[in-house]
Amino acid sequence: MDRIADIWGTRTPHAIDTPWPVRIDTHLDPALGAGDVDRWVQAGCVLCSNGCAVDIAVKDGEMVGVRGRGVDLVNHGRLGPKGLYGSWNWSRSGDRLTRPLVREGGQLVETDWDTAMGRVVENSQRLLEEKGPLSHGFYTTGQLFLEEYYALAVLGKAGVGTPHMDGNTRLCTATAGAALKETFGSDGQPGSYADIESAQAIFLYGHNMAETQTVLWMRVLDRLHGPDRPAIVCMDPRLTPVAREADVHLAVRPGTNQAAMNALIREVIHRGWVDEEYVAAHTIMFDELAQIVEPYTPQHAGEICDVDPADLERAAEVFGTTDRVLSTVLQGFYQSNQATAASCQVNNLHLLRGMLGRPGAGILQMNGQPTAQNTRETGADGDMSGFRNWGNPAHIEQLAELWNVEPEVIPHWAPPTHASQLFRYVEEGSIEFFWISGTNPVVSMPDSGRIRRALAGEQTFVVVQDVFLTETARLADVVLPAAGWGEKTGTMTNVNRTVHLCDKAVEPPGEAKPDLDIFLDYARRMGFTDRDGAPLLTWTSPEEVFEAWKECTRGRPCDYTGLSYDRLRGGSGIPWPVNDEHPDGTQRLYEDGVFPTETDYAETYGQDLLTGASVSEQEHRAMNPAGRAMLKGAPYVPAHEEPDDEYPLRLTTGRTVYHFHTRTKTARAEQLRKAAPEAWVELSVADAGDLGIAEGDLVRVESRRGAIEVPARIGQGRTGVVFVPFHFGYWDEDRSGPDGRARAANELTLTSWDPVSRQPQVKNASVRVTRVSAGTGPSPAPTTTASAPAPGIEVPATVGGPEAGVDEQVDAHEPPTLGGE
Amino acid sequence: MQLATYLGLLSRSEETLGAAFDTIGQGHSRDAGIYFICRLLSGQCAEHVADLAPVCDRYGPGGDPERLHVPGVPEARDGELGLLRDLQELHTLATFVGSTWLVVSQTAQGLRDDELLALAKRCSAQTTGQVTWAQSQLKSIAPQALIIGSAPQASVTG
Ligand code: SF4
Repeated sequence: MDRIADIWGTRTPHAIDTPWPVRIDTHLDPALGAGDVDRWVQAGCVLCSNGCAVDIAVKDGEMVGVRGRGVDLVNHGRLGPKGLYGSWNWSRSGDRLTRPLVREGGQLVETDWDTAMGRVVENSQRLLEEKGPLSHGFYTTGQLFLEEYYALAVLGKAGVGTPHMDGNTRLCTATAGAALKETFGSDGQPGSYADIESAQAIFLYGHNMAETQTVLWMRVLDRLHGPDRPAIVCMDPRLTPVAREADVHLAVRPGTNQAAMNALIREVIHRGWVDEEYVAAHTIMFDELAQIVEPYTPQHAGEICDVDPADLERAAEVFGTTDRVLSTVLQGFYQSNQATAASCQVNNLHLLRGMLGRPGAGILQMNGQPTAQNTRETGADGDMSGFRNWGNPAHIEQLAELWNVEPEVIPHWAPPTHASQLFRYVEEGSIEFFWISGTNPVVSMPDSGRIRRALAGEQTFVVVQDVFLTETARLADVVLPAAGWGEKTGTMTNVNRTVHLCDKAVEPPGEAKPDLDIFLDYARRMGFTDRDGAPLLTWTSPEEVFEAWKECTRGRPCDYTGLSYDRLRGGSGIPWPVNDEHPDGTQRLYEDGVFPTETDYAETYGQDLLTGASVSEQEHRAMNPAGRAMLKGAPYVPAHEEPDDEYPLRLTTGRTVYHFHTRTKTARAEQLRKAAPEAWVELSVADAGDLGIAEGDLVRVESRRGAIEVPARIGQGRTGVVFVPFHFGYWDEDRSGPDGRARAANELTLTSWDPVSRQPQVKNASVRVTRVSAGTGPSPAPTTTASAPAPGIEVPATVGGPEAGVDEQVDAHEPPTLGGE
Repeated sequence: MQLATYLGLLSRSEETLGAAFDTIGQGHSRDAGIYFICRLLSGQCAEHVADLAPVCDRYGPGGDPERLHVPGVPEARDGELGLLRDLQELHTLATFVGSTWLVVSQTAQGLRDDELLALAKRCSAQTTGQVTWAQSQLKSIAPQALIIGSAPQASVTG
């Protein structure tokens, strides 16, 4: 089967409360057959947060394909297009970084590890001596392994002692973490993918699941095609594949999610759908919430959001009258106005209806990147390791004990520095040593021009550690070649807490090294010590780090103590907590309605949803949450940039099914690259008509920050809204920036972030669009996805052809169950 | 009765605070977190002024003794240190507005003016939020500003 053309593959429909059948998907190098494979090596896919389990096919020391693991709870054998084609092709690409690079006379030149690390350490030591730890910043990714993040977190917090550490997970998952913390007291995904099997209705909030987590969407589709179809409610301004399946599609005006959410909550309260017993026993702050949402009648919210009030009423009715609802939330909320506030309202809806911790009644606050969850757990996103509270001295004391350092070494006077602030400090020259690992902020951060200038400036020594020479690496002072997926061992945790082991399948090319080895090498060369003068980081293998990590999680919500590499080999991934109480892992959290909000245990004392101001320990204690969840509310406030005469259209940015992040891997797979070869901009039929733009015309999209010129797709989105995919930068044209031919969506976006999660708002900007010239054919946007052309516009269908062949083995064996029972 | 005078003082202090949020927010527009929140909080001040207007009308004109008024912030200061100092201004001003609401609210209780009392409760909660916000910002940026300080010659503009 061509899984470029048929993204979700063969349907395996089934009824409610019956297991999701197995379907094993395999794709190998088209030149090879199954018999050619030397061996299969167990891993998890790292091209989105879904966390599908795969076996990597190895032949002659090279990765040559993948096969889904039918025994795994997450994917029951299935893989999506990115996983199938994009997982392994990149590893053989001729432009891998194989030696360290250092900047000499303005040019990056090859060198050896000693020279490169010598420069890193010399700058680091000098600055620590002259200016102290606050001169150092670390910016990592959502694509390394747990062990690598934990090593980075320890060296940053207890070695260097800087609060300036974040991951690009700030861009994809920070709001998921923040919303869970604000409502439930700690991070931790309440629900499970298995809730799809039991749900009677599924609400997708700003979540184009069909494109972002294709395998999860297959799971939903198999219910939709089954005998008792769950109702689908979709809140998304675009006509996504999810919206096409929806019973209610709330195509809200971008930036107005909070108004719509307040209206839904108000309806649930006013129409008597609140589970009063549950609310009384398991929540606090109901009266405040009811007061905040009171003005948001369906009519009022309908005006703000530009949707039919009757649709808001229908959506509320589905929620209010269904016993088992599963909600999922993603970037349409997380990267938009009032991200955390709106995401908390999803939690609130479930609490108001007592729909948590039982089959089919759950919440999935999604993540974007594959190992985003691990940055949150380990603290590589700046948080305190093991979901500890930076404001709680006892928690800092626990970490100090664990790492055998003085508590004062661990910076905990304020929340950790978030990504946008890191770049602000770099721009100001306040951070002079900046280490970027495994990510490409020049393309992914808002206002690319500003990020490029900050990194290219002389004021800061920039280290970039990556698999390829990205746009960002091109601006570095030192580039360190890293091993990629399949070339190293480590664990990863997906959206629903499932931990997978990824074993090393092949050797990295040239002198490239696992990120863990690079971090440990830095720590060793720096001579970081504990309070007894012994080396701080003594680990030599990922498994040793994992064992240490288990200790860090003991007694915390993300308890890994019952896991080991051995347990993770062979069978399914296992969802945490895994400990004496839950030896086989945990399907759902909060079955008993007891939440980690107790003041001494909570991961946070909380924040004001409007301003992000921190709640103090005393204030938290006074609220006495004592295991009850918090129904935090906020009024709607308009987005930071609203359209005006000069820039009359709303820009929203996003993804396509065929690419991941800045395409460093996916564009190196022919099948994916051909499916979505170039950037485009989507315009509504009405806007295109007004502007005299036809399909394929080259158009200029301009904001107050910058401009891009890309071909137009006349699509099916709302009038007044312009969509640009964020994947496309410049590396494949051998440049780090526009050079007069700009196409990166983030040239247009605005530096602004949610005050609570500090997630950048890359879905809110105002632009104007003008026609530049006629095109030579239709735009390169895929036809199989939300970027499908408007009816009547003829564009050749997106297909993969013979190179994209995938074998699907339906019902290969019985579906797996948690604990195997 | 002097409540009218204090209502006048309150209204004018809210205006002063709102203007300070605007001035300081715009002065530090490269710091997006400061800029956008200042804009939001300035909007809250403007709402408070609008909501106070009918109450002021109800109590009639009061005295307007200059000596009671609190001075505003004519312009934002430069750099990280300047930002720190400006946040202190906002903290001080918002605290003053908060205590003025307290005075008004106590008096409203004495007068059994439920309408004013409700207004004071709602607005002073927001003012408390403003104080807490300024405090949170101060806590976050103080170490960086004082230990490292900004290096203006290296800063990027435009
Ligand atoms: S859904 Fe995500 S994790 Fe699964 S195969 Fe696709 S990209 Fe990989």
